[in-house]
Amino acid sequence: MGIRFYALILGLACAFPAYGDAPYAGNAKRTDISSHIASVKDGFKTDPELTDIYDLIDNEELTTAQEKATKIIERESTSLSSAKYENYLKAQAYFLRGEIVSQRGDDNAALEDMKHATNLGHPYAPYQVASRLVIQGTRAQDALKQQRYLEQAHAYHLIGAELGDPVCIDHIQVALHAKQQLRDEHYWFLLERMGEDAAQIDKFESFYLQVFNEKDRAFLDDVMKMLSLSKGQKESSLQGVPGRSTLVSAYVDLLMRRQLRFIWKAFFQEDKGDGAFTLQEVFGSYKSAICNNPLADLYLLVNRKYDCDAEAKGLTAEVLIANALPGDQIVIRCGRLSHYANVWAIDKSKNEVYLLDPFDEFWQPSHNRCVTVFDRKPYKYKRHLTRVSYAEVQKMLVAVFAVRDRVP
Amino acid sequence: MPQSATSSFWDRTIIVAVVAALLGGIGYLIKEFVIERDKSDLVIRAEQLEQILPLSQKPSDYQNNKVYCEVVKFDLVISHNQEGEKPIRIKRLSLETEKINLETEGNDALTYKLDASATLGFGIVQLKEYAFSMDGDSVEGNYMESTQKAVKVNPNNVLESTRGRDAITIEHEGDSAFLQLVIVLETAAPGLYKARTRLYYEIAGTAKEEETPWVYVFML
Repeated sequence: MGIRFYALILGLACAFPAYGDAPYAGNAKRTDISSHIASVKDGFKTDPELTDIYDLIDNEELTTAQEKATKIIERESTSLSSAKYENYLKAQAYFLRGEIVSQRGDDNAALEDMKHATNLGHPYAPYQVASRLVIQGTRAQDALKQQRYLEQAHAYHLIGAELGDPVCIDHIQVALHAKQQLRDEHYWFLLERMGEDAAQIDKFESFYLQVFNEKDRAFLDDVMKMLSLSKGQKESSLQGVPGRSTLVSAYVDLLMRRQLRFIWKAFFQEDKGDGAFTLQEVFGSYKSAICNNPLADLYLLVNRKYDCDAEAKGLTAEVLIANALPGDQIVIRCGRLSHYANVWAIDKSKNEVYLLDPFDEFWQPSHNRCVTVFDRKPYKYKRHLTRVSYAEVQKMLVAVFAVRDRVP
Repeated sequence: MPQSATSSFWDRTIIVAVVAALLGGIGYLIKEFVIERDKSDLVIRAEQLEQILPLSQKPSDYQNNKVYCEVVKFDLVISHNQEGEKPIRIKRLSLETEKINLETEGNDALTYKLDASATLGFGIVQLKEYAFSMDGDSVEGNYMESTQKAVKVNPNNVLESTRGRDAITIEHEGDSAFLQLVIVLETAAPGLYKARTRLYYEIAGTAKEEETPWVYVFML
């Protein structure tokens, strides 16, 4: 269990909206929470105290569950626990206590707990806060007060949307439409469409090609280029590997946001790598997950130092890294250490690669002789990005899992 | 002095001399046949040599020696031979490496291909291993204690970095009768390298040393 599942689970995490995480907080019920813990156990570190709280909620022992959650919230951080893990535990405790007090009818206390959980990075708490603020807004007599509540709710919906919560994406899109912020509205509009099931995506593609005119499509191209994490559509310079269309770029953005949500709860377990999956198995699993979207596919690009059955092989490391885009996954190796990480951004001119990598211990120069540049840049919502050197990544690059258009 | 008293004196002297000679003889016999029969010594072996990176094409042997590609791992087992009871003090363990000049030797048969599809990816999970990377004539050693802490290892005194400068005692029985280390050899630059470990130890004041056979590691 543990890190060897990471590469597989990360694929699943980004391809399915709620894999390994709590079901929509807006509908969170005790049974859902129990199923959440069952999936969390499959590959992640789970604190026994949290499990206890889930069990107590399951048995409807809400008072004891609330006390236990409070104990976690109020306790001093221990030196044995990492800051990230302690943060995770407290966020979960706030979230669960918020659920409990909400069930007991104390909406104000629930709102405060959910705000705390949001501040600590809990991905489902923003929706909880936003919904409560909307309710308070509708109850407010004063129009100014009402407006203030709705503005606050909007901010929390945006947090949820940026963490890939589809309910929040839907809300934020409606809100942006009302505010006539066309570009932002359409950015979230495209992400929402790409989060739908295969039949709906197919239907939307027909609509996109047949109903939208060239000007509309150019506008959406521009929106994705300006606002997306994946930087919009890209041509391919590799034979046998297509580029990325605007719609697939939107899908990649959705994947990246789901990964961003996921890494907050991924922790390193120091076990041996027995039973680890091979690159081919990880690729196969990720590919089948990506293929849930009928417009997208996953391609394997491999360094010429390696033999492999791949769509693009025999590539120099220079060509390989030049073809890695935000949202792709890279496979790197230094000596005996192999690793997977997600590309968040690449800037060759600054010799920088930003990665989304919850297990970035790999990059520590003290542990990895191929690395001299490594730091963690704080990102939004208690997440961080791992900054490493473009040149050093290039030297270590084994393969790229590239999310691109599907060839009909 | 009366004659009887003189006789008694010489008798006693002779007896003492005989007893002393007997004791000396027994001591000699014990030393020769009991103490020296304690044949305590160390056994040092490189076991479970493993090619870490999967290969789709293996290299040929080099002068009848198996060649590993880029990374090889093995268990270094140091144990008491249990042919005596003397404790053995390990003073130093060193790694000896040498880059072989293939151009001079004209060996073009060494080639291999790494198999990406079978590569396992799990980041830093192999802790508590002594890893050495060879780059030309220089060797760097590293020991990962945890995912957060790693220490540099001096190839000339491998155990110093993790166990301090005190000698390690190997007893003839019990948990202290052996020492097992995981050694990883990596190539950081192209070439054919050979490496072996050498152990410096002491038994009852006598300094000795022993080495493992050469291990060959190659990088294209």
